[in-house]
Amino acid sequence: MKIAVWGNELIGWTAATAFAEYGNQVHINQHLSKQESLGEQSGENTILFNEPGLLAHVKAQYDKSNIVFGSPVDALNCPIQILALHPDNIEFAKEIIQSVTRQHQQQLVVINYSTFGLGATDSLAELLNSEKKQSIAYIPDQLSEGSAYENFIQAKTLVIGCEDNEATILIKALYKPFSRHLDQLLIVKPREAEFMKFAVNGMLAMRLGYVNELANLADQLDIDIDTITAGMGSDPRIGKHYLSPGCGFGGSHFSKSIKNMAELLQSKRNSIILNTLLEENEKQKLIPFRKFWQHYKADVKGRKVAVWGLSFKPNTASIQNAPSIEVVKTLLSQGCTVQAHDPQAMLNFSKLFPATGQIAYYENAIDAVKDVDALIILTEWNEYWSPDYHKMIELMNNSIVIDGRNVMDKELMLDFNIIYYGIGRQ
Amino acid sequence: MNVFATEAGTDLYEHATTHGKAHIASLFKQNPKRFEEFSFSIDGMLLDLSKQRITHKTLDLLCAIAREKKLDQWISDLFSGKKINTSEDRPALHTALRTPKYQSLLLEGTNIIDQVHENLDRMEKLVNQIHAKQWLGCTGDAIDTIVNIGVGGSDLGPFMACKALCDFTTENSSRIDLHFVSSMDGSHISSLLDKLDPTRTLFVISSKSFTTIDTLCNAETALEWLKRSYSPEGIDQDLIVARHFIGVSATPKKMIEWGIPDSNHLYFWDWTGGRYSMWSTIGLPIALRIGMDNFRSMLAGAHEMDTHFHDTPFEQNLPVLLAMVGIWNINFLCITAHAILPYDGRLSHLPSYLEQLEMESNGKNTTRSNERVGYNTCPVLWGEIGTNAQHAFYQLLHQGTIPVMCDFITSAVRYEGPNNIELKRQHQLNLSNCLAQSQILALGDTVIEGAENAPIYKRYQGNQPCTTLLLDKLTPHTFGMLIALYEHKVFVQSVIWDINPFDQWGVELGKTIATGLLPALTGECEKPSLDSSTLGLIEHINRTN
Repeated sequence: MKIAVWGNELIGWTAATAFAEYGNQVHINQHLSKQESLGEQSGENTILFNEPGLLAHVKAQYDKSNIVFGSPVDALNCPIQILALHPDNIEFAKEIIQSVTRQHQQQLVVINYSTFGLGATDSLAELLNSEKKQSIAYIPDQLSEGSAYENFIQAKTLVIGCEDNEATILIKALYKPFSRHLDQLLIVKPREAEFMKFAVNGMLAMRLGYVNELANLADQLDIDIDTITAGMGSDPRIGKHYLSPGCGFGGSHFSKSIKNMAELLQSKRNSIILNTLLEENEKQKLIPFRKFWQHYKADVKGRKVAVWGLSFKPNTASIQNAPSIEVVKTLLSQGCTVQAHDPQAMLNFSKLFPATGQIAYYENAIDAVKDVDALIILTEWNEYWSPDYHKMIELMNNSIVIDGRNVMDKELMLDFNIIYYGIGRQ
Repeated sequence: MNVFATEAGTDLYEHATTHGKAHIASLFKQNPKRFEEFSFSIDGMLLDLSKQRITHKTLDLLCAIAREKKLDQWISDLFSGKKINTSEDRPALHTALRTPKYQSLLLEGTNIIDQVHENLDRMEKLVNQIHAKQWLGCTGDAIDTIVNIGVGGSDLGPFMACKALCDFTTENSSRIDLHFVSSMDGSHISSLLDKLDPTRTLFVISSKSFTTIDTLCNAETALEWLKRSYSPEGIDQDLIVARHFIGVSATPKKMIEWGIPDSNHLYFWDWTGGRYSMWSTIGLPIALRIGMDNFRSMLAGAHEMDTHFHDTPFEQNLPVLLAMVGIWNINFLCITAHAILPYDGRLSHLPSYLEQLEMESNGKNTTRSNERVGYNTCPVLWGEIGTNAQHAFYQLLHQGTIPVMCDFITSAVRYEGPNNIELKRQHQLNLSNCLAQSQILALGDTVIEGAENAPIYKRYQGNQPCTTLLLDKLTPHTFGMLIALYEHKVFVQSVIWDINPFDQWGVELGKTIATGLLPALTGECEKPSLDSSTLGLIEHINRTN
């Protein structure tokens, strides 16, 4: 089938690649040239660059001519149109649909992956001509950054928000190659699917927020949060997912989606539950800094600090809403010097905080701890779980580790005479 | 009687005898162009004096008195830093606080404009730090709550300005929670502390001398509250003070003695009177509320008024005209009550601010040559938001037995934009009330036909002199102009009355006596020798305790 994809979002690229691999011809339309898209000309496309392996998949399908960087005119003729636009770009989505309906007089299915907000897909549907069998579906994007391609091709759940039977049949056919692992297929109204997307993200954020609050309390009560979460997770009503405390969540779309839901709750229900959660999450991001500040009784000016982990989570180069931004900004503003390491995100981070006398970047994590007064860990990259402690202690000026992701073993730290601060592990 | 013993004063007294009783309604009847002829404006502000009981001759003679009193020389002395606050042997240089950086003013060989801007820059750094969430408390939490502890000039000006300019918060400043604590009895601070998070609260202690008992006892309460909160963590007092207190004073030594490190000091100077100090670092809460750019815009507005006051002939000079019309009312028409009536909820604290500015400055009975004055000086001032006062004391203004001069203060434009239709309509209703009230107060019920047939209790005699101050819009700039206008008005009247507006000896004795009475209340002194009333009250209090 001929599919047009609009937008420069992770879900768009992932769906384009997956559909292209299974015999479809995909037209990419994001108002970027092929060179710009694939990072051959003016720097890298951050969406593709940040997602491990995805760029290679796209390039492979491009080489086979399954992905085409065609003119918008060709794209407008495709019978399947995919909208994978930034949440703020609903006006652009409307323009696309208006152009498509002008050009395209036959049957048409629009798949909307964009999280514009509740009711947005219905408002886009009004621009289509149902008499000509033109319809729209909203499919909530369930990808996690860092494992987007795997999430897509091995999806456990597929929710199709669509009220048109023929369109639903077509979408199910399109998704057939990726339905082998499905536990659940839900066909609902677009509005319900949109609500579901917000509800799921909100629930996950609430779990994280709650466990972080518990961890902060545990810190004050001299209780180890790991014991508590182990107990909580063993209760089948609760389960083990999203029960690890840490220094706050980040990312682009997750945070944006929760913000949208928070605004919706506030405006319709006068409820501040998610707004409070977002505010607390921002405070949580600075917990590692506060532990450092308290350890030195506010005497931090001129101190050298190693920061391990700049991306908002492991296996991505993305730093959007990452705790590292707030922590490093605060360290610098208080006159500290930062020695930073991250396996993938240093390039992105250095655009925000260029290497100067106050901040330096290290290719090797151990090198970053040389002469520092503390090490702060902000992302749980695999390589931080068990570093060469002997060398670390030898290099550090003061053996203080502030572990914002609880990746290190507390008992071992004691054996090494390292002063250790975790989250909820006082 | 010619109260001022000047040639123009004699003429004006005669003019008052013959024309002073003319009703404002008849003045409008005689001259339909009164508004054109008695309204004066500068960019952003209009002063309408047409509803005053004045004619052209009145204004001419008032300006002549000002000249005979050498007002131009006094203005020059004020701006140039002469020691016109003679009883305290110092200049009064609040105008220097808003003078642009490129100008200079030498005071005992030092360019004080440089000092002013150094301190503004220091304040800006601090404001930006707090706005950027970079000022951290003992636990490393960013400060987001500020409590200003001060009294008098260290409280009223910033408090009034923060309310007046509440529409001008910035993205960063709007997240700051700002509180003012002034009352000595602890009622402000005790209810406030229960609601605050000590880890995120910063106290600004503002006191020119840093000895004001009202302020220091509130500061001690705040410090004890923090010490109690931090005691489980074992954080010492020096660290608490360093992270949670800023001092604003003209006496750095006293701030150090209290424990505030000099890195947390903001300064101003003894040539800044307390009630004229909101333009200095005492204005820190204002800058925290509206951001430094808006604060500087407020200073620029005040400077524009300074320049107008300094350079403009009396006949077109807004502060001079406002002041001299006041002199006419007080000294020639014998009106000793003055109502301040803002028709703008944002100016709700302007009346109490002006109460201090006018009554503490000019509420005096001694001339500069240490003689009793033989004439009235500052009237009693009071006020309230106009539309609220309409349901309170306007009855007295309309049908009472005492003459009252009234200042109506409002802005022509408010609530712009398509989403504010209802609020804009409310503002129009507010303006119509403002205009209606000044119209009736001045012209009486002549404004409606057939009023003379109404029963006497429904009649409105009018003839209360009214001034209308109409801002185009209330902005930091026009607000700065407005406050500077009143400051200069007060100065002009002080020159005419030959009094020093920059001291306040009348408030000193009370402090001394209070200190003396304290032991009788705390039981440290059993039977003080006092008048029977004070003694009786003390005994009753002690029995009740």
